[in-house]
Amino acid sequence: MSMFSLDSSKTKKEELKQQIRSEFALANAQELINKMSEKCYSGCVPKPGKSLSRTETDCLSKCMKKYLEAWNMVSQAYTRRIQEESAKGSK
Amino acid sequence: MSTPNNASATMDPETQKEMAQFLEVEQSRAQLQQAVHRFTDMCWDKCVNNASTPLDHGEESCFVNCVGRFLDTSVFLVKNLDSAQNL
Repeated sequence: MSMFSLDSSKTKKEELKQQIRSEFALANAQELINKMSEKCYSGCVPKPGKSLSRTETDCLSKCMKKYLEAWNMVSQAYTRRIQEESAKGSK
Repeated sequence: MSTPNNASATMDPETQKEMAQFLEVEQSRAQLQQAVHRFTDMCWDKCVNNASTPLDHGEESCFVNCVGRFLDTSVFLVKNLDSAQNL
């Protein structure tokens, strides 16, 4: 019992950090899903029918993969640029 | 604040500082991710013709150029705005 109270404030702090991290991660995932749905819906479902066809769901899976790859590409390009600019700035 | 269970009220100054720094790092990460969402959205329309084909080399460099030239554009415009003000 005393062991617990000894590091309980440290545990609380880590819990709070973890909670903050997962809230940010959730917001990021929601944004990703929103944008990806928009792009893949307009790219794969040009004429919405009564349900998604096999062709459409195949397209959606491929589109999702492509969107994630593009996102990572953009992220790398942007991060590289920020690093270059800050290296320039510090000279 | 009047809430007695307010987290900062129970934190010592050192912990408060640590949490503030932690939050700052997480917020700047979120800001960066938000920019990546915006750029991907914008560049997808410019670079992708077919949503279901794998990302090819041409599209990859299109995305990289799209981000680079967008940032160049905003730098250029800011400089322009600066010199326009000095007229």
